Amino acid sequence: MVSAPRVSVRNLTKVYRTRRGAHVALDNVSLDIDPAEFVVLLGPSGCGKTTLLRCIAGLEEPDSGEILIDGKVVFSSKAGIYVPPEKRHLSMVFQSYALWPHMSVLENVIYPIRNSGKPQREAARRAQDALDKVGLGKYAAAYPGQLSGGQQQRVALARAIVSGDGLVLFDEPLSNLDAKVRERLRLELLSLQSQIGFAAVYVTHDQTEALALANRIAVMDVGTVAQIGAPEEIYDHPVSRYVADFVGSANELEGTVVGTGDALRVRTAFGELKSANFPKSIAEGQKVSVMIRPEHCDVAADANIDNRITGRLVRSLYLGAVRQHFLETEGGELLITTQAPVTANADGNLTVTCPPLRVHVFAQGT
Amino acid sequence: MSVDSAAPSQSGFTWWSRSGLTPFSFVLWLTLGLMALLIIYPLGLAIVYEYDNIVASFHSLVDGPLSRTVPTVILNTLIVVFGATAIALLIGSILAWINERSDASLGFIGQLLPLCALIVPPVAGVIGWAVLLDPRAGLANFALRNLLEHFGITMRTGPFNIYTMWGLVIITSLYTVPYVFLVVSAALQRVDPAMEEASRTGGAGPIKTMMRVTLPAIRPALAASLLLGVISGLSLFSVPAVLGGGARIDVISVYIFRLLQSYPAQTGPAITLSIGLLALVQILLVLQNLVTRPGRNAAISGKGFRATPVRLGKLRWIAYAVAVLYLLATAVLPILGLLLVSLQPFWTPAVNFSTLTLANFSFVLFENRQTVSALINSVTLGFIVASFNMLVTGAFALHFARNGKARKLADILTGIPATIPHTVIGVAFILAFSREPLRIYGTTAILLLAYIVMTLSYAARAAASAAASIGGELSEASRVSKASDMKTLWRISLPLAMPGLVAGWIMVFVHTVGEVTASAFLSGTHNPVIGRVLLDLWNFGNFPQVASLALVITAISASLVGLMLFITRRSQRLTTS
Ligand SMILES: Nc1ncnc2c1ncn2[C@@H]1O[C@H](COP(=O)(O)OP(=O)(O)OP(=O)(O)O)[C@@H](O)[C@H]1O
Ligand SMILES: [Mg+2]
Repeated sequence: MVSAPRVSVRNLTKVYRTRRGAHVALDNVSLDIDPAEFVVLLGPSGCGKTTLLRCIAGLEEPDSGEILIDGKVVFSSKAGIYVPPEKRHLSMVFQSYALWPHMSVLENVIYPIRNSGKPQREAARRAQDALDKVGLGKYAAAYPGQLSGGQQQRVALARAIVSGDGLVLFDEPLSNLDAKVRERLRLELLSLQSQIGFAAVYVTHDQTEALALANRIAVMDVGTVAQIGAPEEIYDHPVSRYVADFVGSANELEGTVVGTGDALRVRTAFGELKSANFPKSIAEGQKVSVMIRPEHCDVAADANIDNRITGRLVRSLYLGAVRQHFLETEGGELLITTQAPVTANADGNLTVTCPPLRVHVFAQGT
Repeated sequence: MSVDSAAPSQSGFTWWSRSGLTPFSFVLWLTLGLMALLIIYPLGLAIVYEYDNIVASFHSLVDGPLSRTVPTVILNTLIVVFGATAIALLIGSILAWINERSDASLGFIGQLLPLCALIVPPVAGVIGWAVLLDPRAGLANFALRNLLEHFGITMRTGPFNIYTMWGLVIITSLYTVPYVFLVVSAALQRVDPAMEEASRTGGAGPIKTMMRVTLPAIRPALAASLLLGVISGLSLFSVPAVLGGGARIDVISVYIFRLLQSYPAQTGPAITLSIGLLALVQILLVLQNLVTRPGRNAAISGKGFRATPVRLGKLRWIAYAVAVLYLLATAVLPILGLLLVSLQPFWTPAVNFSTLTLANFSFVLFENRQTVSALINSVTLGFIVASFNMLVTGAFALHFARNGKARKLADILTGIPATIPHTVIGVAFILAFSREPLRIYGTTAILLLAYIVMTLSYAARAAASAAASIGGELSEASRVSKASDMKTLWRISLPLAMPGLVAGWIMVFVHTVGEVTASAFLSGTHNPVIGRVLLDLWNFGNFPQVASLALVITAISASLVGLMLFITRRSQRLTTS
C-alpha cells in the first residue's frame, strides 16, 4: 500500500443491548479502505453491514475499537474519542433515499455544501453541477415527492457527491429500484466515482451488484468479515464454504481425502475427484466439503481428462444468456451451465469434466 | 449550543458527551424537571402548610358541621359523573361503531364529532342550553309552550327544566362523548375485522357478533374511555357551576370552590376533599390498568384494515339521525340560543325581531373593562401557554426521537397532569402560592403556571405524534450532511413536524381560552380571564353579555379548529403525494 488508507477500521465491536439480551452485531471487525477504492460489504440479512456503515458514519457508537478517516482518529474507545457525523467529512446515501420532502431538489443538494461553510452562490452552482451530472438538471425546482424512485435516488447520489468528500457510504441504495434502472444507475455510479475519485463503502446483499461494482468485496458472516479480496479472488478462491456458497451458485458434496500432494484426491459420491484448489492444512483421511461451480463443468470431449462425471440428462433450461442442465448421477444431482446447447448420447447420458483447479476443497465446518 | 458545535472534535470525552448530555439536552431536561416540580410542588406545599387544618377537617367532615352536606355532595357527584359517563359511553361507542363499521359512515360529521368539545367550549354550550331550557324564560321552552297551546295544553313553566339532576347529567354527558368516540374509534380501527367476519360466517348475526366478538375485543378501550370520562366529569366545573345553582345541586368541584370562597375560607376541608378526589382518580387508574393488562386481550393486530361494512338498511337513517342530533345538541342549538339572547337588549323568551341589536357585542368587546381585559388576558395566556408548552414538548420529542428511554421518562412526567382533576390543581395552586416565597395569587402569573401544568399532557401527546411521523433517516441524513444536531433540529425535524405541532398549539390554545375550573379558583378582579368572567356575569344575571362573550370565544375556538383541520389535511396531502 503506497498511500495511507482512507478509512481504517480496527477491532471494532458493537453490541446492541435490548430487553431480550445483548446482541453482538460487530465482533472485532478490521478493514482498510484505500483512497478511490470501491469496497462492497456483502452478506446476508442481519449480519451487521448497516451497523458497520453507521459506525463509520458516526451514527452509531461502537463499544470498542478504533476508526480512522484520512489518518485522523474519529473513534477510539481507548482514547475516549467520538467525533460526531457532521465532522467526519463523509457523505452517505440511505436505502430510503432520505430526501427532505420540505425542500426542493436543489435545496436538498445545496444543504451539505452550505453546512461546510461555502457561500450560497458557490453552493448553488456546485449543486446545479451535481444535478447535471446525474441528469436531473431540469428538476432542480421540483420537490422530492414529485419525482420517481429512480430520480429520487439520483438526487440522493447528487447530494452525497456534491460536497466533494473523499468518502461516500452507500446503504443498499439501489435495492428499491427495478432491475433496468438499477443496472443503469450502477454504471452511472461507477463513472461518477472514477470522475470524482471518492472512496466508496457500499452495502448490498445482491452478489451480482457486488461483483459488478467492487474493487474489493468484503463478505460478512454474522458480525465478522469472512473474506475480503478482489471479486475474482472471492469468486475463484473462496476461503470457506460460507463464502463460496454466498458468492455464485455451487454444487456441494462431502468427501474424504485419499491422497495429498500437488493435487488432492478426494473420494466423493461422484467418484474420485482431483482438486488443485485447497487449503494447505488439509491432511489425508480428513473429511472435507467439495464445491464445483456449474459454469466450470465442460461437456467432455476427450476421454483422458480428469474428474469425469456421468449422469442422465433430466432437464435443460434455456435462460437466455446461458443454459442450465440437470444431471442425475448415481451420487446425486449435478447442475451445470453452458453457452451452447448440449445433447445427450443414445442412452440419455452425458459426461462432463471439471478441471482440478476448479474443484474447491474446504475443511468441513467452514 | 455554541459550546456543542465549537467543541474541538478530538478533545476527548468531556463530562457532557460521556453522560450523553449536550448543553441543549441539559436545558431540555432542566425545563422538564422544572415543569415536573410545578406539578408536585404546589400539591406538596399545600399539604405541608395546611397539615393542621387537614387534620382538623377530618373532625368537621366526620361529625362536624360539614358532615351533613358532604355525603349529599359526594352522592350528587357520583350520580352526575357516572350517569354522564354511562350515557356518553353508550352514545360515543354507538357513534364510533357506526362510523367505523357500518355502511352509514359519517364522513365529515365523523371528523367533526371528536372536535365538538373544542369548537364549542363546554361553558358556552351549557350557557346556551340554560337559555334554551330555563323553565320560565327558556327560548325552547317558550316555543314549545306556544306549540302546546294549539293543542289546548297551557303551561306557565316548562315543559323542560334544565336545572335538575337530569339536566346536569345529560349536558355533562354531551361533552364526554368526544373522549369516548375518539378512544373507541381508535380501538375499532385496530381490531382485525376478519375476527368479526369469521363470526358472521360462523352463523352469528351482527348483534351477536358485536356482543360476543367486537365488544370484548375493545374492552380495554371502553375501560380507558370510562376513566377518561370520569376524570373529565369530576373536574368539569362549568356545567355544575352554571346549572347547579338553579338546581340547588352541589357537586364536589363546585363545593370545594365554595369552601374556599366562604369567609373565613375553609381551606382544611377543601384540600382534604381534593386529596380524596385525587385518590379516587388514581385508584380508578390502577383499576383500568388491571382491566387492560396486556395479554388478556390478544385481539388487536397492528395494520389498518378496511372492514366490509355492516349493512344497516333502513336503520341507516336512524344512525344518521343519532349523529345529527348529537351535533345539534352540542353545537348548533346552544349557539342558536346564545345568538338569540346576545342580540336582544335583555333576555326574554319572546324574541322581538325588530329590536335586535349588536350593542351587547360592542359592549363586551370594547366597553366593559372587565370583559375586555378578560379577553386580552385569556388570549395572551393562551398564546404564551400554547407556545411554551409546544416549544418544550416539541423540542423534547424531536431531540430525543431516537432515545427510547428519555422519551419514556418524559411520557410518564408529562402524562401526570392528565390524571389530576383541575379542581385539585386549582386548590393546590391557591394554597401554595398565596404566601412566601412565591406570593403570586391574584396575578396572571399564577394562571400562567396553572395553565401550563394543565395543558402539558395535550401538548406532549401532540408533540410525540408529530415527531413519530418523521423517519429517523431524515435527520441522520442531515447529520452526515455536516449539520450539527441543533441545526438538524432547526432545519429538518422542526419544519417536518410543524403541521403536527401547530395542531397541538391550537388544541392547547383553545383549551386554555375555554378553561373554567382553575380559572374560577385562581382568577379574580385583578387577573380576570374569560372562564371566570363568564361565571360571574351569569351569576349577576347579565345574560345578554354572557351570551355575547360565550359566542366570542366560540368563534375564536371554531375558527382555530377550522384552521387546524385545514393544516392537517393539507400536510396529509403533501406527504402522500
Ligand atoms: N438499534 C438496534 N437495536 C438492537 N439490535 C439492532 C439494532 N440495529 C441492528 N440490530 C441488530 O444487529 C444485527 C445487525 O443489524 P444490521 O442492520 O447491521 O444488519 P444488515 O446486515 O444491515 O441487514 P440487512 O441486510 O437486513 O439490512 C441484526 O441482528 C439486528 O437485529
Ligand atoms: Mg441493512
